Amino acid sequence: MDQRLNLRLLLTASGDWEIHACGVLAEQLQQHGCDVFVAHSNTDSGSPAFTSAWHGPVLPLSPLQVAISDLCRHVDAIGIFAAPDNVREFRQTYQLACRLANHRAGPVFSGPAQPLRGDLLEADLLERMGCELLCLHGPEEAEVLQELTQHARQPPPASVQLGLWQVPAPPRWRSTAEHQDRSIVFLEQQDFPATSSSRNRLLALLEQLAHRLPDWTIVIQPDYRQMETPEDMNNGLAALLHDRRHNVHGQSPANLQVGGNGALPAVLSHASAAATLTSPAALMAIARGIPVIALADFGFSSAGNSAFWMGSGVMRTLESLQSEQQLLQLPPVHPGWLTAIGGDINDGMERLLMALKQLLERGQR
Amino acid sequence: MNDTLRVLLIGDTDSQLRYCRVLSQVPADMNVQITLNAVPRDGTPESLLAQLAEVGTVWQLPLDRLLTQAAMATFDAIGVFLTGSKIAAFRKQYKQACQRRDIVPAVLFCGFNGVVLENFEEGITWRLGYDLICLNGPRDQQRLRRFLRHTPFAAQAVALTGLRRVRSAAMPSSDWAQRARRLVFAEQVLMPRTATDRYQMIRTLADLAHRSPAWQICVKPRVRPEERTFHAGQEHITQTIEKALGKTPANMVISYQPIAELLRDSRLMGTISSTAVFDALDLGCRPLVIADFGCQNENGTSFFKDSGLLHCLGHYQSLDELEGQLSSPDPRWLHWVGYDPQYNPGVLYSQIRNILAHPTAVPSLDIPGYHITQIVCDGPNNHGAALNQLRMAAEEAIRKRRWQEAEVMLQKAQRLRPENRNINRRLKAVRSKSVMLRSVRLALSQRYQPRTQE
Repeated sequence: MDQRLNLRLLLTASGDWEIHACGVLAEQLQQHGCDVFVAHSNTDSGSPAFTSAWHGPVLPLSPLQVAISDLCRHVDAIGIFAAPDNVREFRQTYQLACRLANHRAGPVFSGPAQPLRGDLLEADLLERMGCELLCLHGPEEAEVLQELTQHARQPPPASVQLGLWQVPAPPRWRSTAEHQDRSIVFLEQQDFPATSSSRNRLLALLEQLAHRLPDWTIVIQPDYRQMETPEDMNNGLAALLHDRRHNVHGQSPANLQVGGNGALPAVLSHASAAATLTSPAALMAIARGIPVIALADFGFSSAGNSAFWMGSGVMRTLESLQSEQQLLQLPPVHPGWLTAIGGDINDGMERLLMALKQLLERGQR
Repeated sequence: MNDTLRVLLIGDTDSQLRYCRVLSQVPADMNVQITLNAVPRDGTPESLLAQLAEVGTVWQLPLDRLLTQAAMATFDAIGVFLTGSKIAAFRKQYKQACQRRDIVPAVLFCGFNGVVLENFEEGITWRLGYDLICLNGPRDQQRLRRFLRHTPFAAQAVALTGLRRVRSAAMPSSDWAQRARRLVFAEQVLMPRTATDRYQMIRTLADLAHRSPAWQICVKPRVRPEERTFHAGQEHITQTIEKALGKTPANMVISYQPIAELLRDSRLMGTISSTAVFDALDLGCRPLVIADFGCQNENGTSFFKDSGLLHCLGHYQSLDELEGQLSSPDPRWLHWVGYDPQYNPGVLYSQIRNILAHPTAVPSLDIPGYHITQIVCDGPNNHGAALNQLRMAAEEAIRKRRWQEAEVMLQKAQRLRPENRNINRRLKAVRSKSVMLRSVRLALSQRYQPRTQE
């Protein structure tokens, strides 16, 4: 094997959150001495909450374009972060392209870009099974992988637990946030809840909370990254709130506000608590030690990754938050749950590099 | 001998009622007296009701009337086998009725009918609050434990009732050589999911029939064309065959004979992901899982991934060759998924007696930090409400040009009402890759607008 300690890696991604996660990973790997190249085709999106992670240049190529490009020949390994079926498609294309070009395919590593549980996790891992290295978050994902492969005739792919690698802030698990403002940030998602009536109900619940807590500010932080068109924005909570303020004058409390585009890090840094249905951005709040509320008002949806919060100890309804005291005494996430999703792992990049080096060594034997 | 255990089993769809029938097959020495309530529903096969009558007293009461029956107070345990939200609704209404009438509630139990291919965790949240949840085997138990650990529900009682469906008395004795050279294809209304794959599946079977003149391929439809099931098909399999083949090979037939009868004297059974695999094993017929569409989660094939049963029909010259290469399912896998004599309905009744002897309170669902909201529609047509929401969400996504989201919503809607032509047309439209084609198809299909009064 090449005696260089520094690996040359190409990371590619598709999907908003995946591109964000890929950027965080690239930044961390570069800090660990790797020569990192990032490729994705979403370079024109000039916004959002998540882009600040990667400061290097971006090759404007989609994962499939990467798969058939010559670039793959000049790196030690390729990391792909995309929806599982896109990962399968990438692998198949990459292997075919290598066969056609008559050169050996390098190792591909991949994993879910946010911690998953249950059905979603199983479905995700099954699609990624052909990769040479699976990047997992914590012991629970490793447990599921072991179960999924326990009766397989083929040996399972190598895997490594990286912790919550897509969260850029240094881990401050279980520390109590220094509450600078009396504010709660609601992490809005484009997809959940799905229907107009549910979104209206959600807004009504937030308004009621704002009424109950007049000394607090409730900040709706839209998922600007996902709201690609003006119509998306029109269906967001911000637009609904705007409508109410203009059409149902005086009914919406002034302490219910909307966070600006790209304001998530700033809003989070001042928040006393964060609430969400299933936004992965809640991981950022957990990383900052901000108490999180996983809203249970809209029922449970496997497809929406509600299973992720089961056992966290932070599932509650907005209606149950009746007093300021409750908000000031919100408990941290359950330590056992946090450990299970990888919250205790803080040497993820060292683990990843070690696993990649082992993989490359094996490949050269 | 134990005191008589009086058990009421409630089911609505035909598959739930079949599962109730399986649970009713307990050895006499367990002293369990079964009453079955088949919630009246269009399309429930008469033959099934007759089978239920063989194993217990049969009632046919709507749920609201059932709850008012004085006889409800006489049961030690009540098993509820309905669709998700109705399970939660029944628990709520039953507990309220007991409170009103000042009676001690029976042990409430529920379960999953057959193999759980998707939405397991969601299914568990609908079932929390029940004293006991029936699961198939260690696989499901492990998934439940993992899901509920670190929660107040971690001690949820479960009974592993297994995947065996046929009583040992009904087991076959026929010699292998006497069995017909027949492959029974157990059709599923939803698998494979797409119409294209369903047509391809039929063509694959027909090609194999052509290549295997000494064999018969017998398609066993899930239901008769006039019958309905919860998973009512987009089009009946007979229509798919007609359209896909035009002329069916002489050795390819459709049979409405009960599947158990077919499996009892056939050599092979094939399916995409049906629980009938386990019926075949019960009845000495060799099962195989058709992997021609890949080992996909979407089609449920991934459940059988390491079973040793996956085969691509297209790879075999004939059924003789396929038969020669079939191996037995991996016994470790069988045990893991629950096909093992140690997992049987008897386990359930022992567990119920345990709970009766040592009652423990079931945790409430509104514990701060662990709040489970079961959004229960008390109206008669939950199904309709869900469909309405999905179609509205799909239209919203179409309006916003979020094609992928629209596709997901319409797929879900299609599963609830597969025969609805406009859902299918809208789905086809949003799946179109060409912008122009998509626009044309959207324009030609009707935009969904909910009626205020049905």
